[in-house]
Amino acid sequence: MLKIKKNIAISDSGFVFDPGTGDSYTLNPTGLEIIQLIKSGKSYEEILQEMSAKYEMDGESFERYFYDFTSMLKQMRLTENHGED
Amino acid sequence: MEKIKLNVALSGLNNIDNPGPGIPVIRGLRDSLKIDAKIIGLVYDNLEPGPYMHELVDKTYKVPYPSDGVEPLLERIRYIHEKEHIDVLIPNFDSELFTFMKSEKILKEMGIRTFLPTLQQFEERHKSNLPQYGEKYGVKVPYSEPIGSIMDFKKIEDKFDYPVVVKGKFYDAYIAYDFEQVGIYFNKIAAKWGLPIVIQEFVRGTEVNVVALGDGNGNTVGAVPMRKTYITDKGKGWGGITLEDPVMMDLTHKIILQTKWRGGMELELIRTSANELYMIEINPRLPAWVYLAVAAGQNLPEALVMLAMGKKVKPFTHYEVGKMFIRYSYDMICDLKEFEQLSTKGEL
Amino acid sequence: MTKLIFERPIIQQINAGLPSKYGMSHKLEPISHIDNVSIKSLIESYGSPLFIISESTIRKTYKNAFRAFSSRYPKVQFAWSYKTNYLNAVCNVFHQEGSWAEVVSGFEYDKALKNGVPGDLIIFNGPDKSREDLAKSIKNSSLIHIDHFDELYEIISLTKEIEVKPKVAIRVNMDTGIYPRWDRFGFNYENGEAWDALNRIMANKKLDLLGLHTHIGTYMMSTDAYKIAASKLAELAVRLQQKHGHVLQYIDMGGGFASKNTLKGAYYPGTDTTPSFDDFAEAITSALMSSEIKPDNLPLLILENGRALIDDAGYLAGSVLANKRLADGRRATIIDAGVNILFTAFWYEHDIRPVEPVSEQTEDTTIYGPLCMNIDVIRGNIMFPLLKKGDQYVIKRVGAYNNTQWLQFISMRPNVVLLDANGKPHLIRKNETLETINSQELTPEHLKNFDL
Repeated sequence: MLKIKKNIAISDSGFVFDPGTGDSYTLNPTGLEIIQLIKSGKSYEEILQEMSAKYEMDGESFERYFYDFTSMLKQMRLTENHGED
Repeated sequence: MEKIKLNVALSGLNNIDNPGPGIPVIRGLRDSLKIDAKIIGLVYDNLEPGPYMHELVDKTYKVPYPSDGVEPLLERIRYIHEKEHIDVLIPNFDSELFTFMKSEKILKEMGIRTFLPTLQQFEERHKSNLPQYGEKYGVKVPYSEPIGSIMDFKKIEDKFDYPVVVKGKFYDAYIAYDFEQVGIYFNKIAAKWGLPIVIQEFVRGTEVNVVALGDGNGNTVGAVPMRKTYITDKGKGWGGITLEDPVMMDLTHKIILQTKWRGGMELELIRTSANELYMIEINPRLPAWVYLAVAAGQNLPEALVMLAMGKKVKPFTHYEVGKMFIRYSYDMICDLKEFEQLSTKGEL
Repeated sequence: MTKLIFERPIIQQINAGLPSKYGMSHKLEPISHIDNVSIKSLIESYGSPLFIISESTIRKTYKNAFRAFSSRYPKVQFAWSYKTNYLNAVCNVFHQEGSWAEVVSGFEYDKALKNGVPGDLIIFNGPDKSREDLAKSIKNSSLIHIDHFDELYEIISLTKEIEVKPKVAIRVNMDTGIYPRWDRFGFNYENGEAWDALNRIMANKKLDLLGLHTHIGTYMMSTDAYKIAASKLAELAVRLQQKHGHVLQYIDMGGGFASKNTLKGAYYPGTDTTPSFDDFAEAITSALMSSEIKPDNLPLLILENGRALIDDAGYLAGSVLANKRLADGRRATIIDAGVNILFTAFWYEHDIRPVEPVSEQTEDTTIYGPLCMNIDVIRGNIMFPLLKKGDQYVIKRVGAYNNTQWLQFISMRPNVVLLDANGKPHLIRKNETLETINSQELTPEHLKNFDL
């Protein structure tokens, strides 16, 4: 399961700070919501369920957005690189 | 005398190793005995130092780049104006001036005053027009030609002796010693500032500058000449000293009189070993070293704001000769929270 | 409880350090309608991609440009530059507005004739006029703008065969202080070649010298150059009258006005920097009015603008084929229009917008066309919202040169529709099909069959 690095600081304004690299990032509100769900240890299915209860959206495009988003998190090295994925 | 309370918005808060004029202009305003200014900073980048210098800047807003066009910028200014009631706006970047000059009327209708050169004054002094400018106003200028590609330069290479100066439309100038270097600098500058690139004859000598303010009717409100005593590898003054130089002053008065220059300006001149003055460039704004003029007795930022407000300003006639500045850098400690706020909210 | 609108999750690095080109990103307003017609419905009816031309924009632009000149100068005539867009429907909108035709080849000449333009209202420009073309245009009393001495002597030799006296002007090139200087067309002013050509025409007596023509360059952002050019032509006209007592009927200032597109490499957007028709008109007419030409002899002022009159009226709409991430994490969006039908993408930073409102979030994106070629880039980097596969886009200001320079490559050139003044769409050029292409091909008998 995808894990956000423990030392990554995420503020309520959507500001992300990586103390390991000194880089900072901004999230849009949905990005912030999803990253917090990931951080709390929720699986993709649980996140999908939670998001579709709240938002008007279809599962197929959510899946695409979700994996695009998490691939960016990986590319930015904000995720733990051990584990199965 | 009671100070006038004014909200002054300005840009150029990038007080870095190649500083913008914003912070020095603010220091002039802070020294003023006539103006009690609230300073509203306009920044393009989260890391411009100005927003974090709280003793100088009261409030900061991020603004879109001038290359995005007039409309997005005006929309942002409207938003800022609603909150801050801007009285006077002083753009300090060359690249902004065109956009603000075009919007002068709209800004005025909104109640925001500026004190800028006219579009004609601005266009005429472009680096690519320098030879015509020199001819028109009887000023010696180095030979120069605009080019649109490096192949263009191949065709006119014979007209120049190396080294030549390769200059961007707004900023950047490099000395190139051969064709290959011209190519390198051409690409480097073109990528950042677009075309044309100007190739200029290299004039050997001492760089001397004048900061001046014209009232728009041909009168020089103030002018202080200076020689850079040390120049960094980026060509920026690290130290400078005010000069007593009637020839430079006459030249300044002549240019301001003939062009009816309105607003701040910096004349970049080279004095050759034969004691001839060449004009290299006219920058259509106050320069980053303007605080030297303030310290020498001419508070040009204050005068500029007063003129923008439509007040009468008595021209300065004296300044202290031999006043020096030494530029220094300083590692300011900043709060990550503030960086976060500026980068996520666009305000600080 | 009604559900909230879902917005795609985004994370962006805060670029610290050197200011990037993007300060505060601003929202890209969608364009859903052209002349109150929904782009979506047009694509549904006519396919994707699709060129859409607004007739009312053409007429409005034309009227504005004509007013700029006619309010400053007594006699003004426009001639539509066929090469800019020679779709017959487009040409005829200009002809209805009063434009003559300006052509640069035998093909364009015939096209103008077929459209119904009287031969004596066709201006024939350019270096490529065959003997047959010249003979035809002499017989039709068309205005022949001579490009070089070889052409002048060809026309003189034709006067032995044809009864009609050829109506001619010469094209003059000159230094107007701009770069690059166009000196490959016409006769040079500064070295006296133009004056020489005029004297030879006057001495010959078999040609009817009606005017002077120049075309100083393309995508001109400076009005001063036109002022200089007009003064120099006026000076030639005055000398002709002084020496030969010959009064010219017209001065043709050509075209070359920039449109509001942003050139690649420009720092400011074209919408901020392009001079208006009034600016150009002021420069040209003030030079003519203040010249030594006697007020009674003021020549007709002809203009041959193309780009500035048609660019705004053309749109290219289509659909997103796919999104992907490039190796460096940047976004790439692939659309169904490539550089083969949008030639101008090579020199403009085209204004491309989503058709439907999408997220305010934008990302640094490269927009690629569908061709299997690396050069097929519509926009190098643009802060663009993420469009899904199938979402529609529209590109503004594509009316000039694209419908004349486009290439059939890999797939077929698409439909072109014209929206009339009431917003009714008319198909004005059908999309090509396999049959269109095959109908031009001939396969030798021995290559008709094969076994695989």
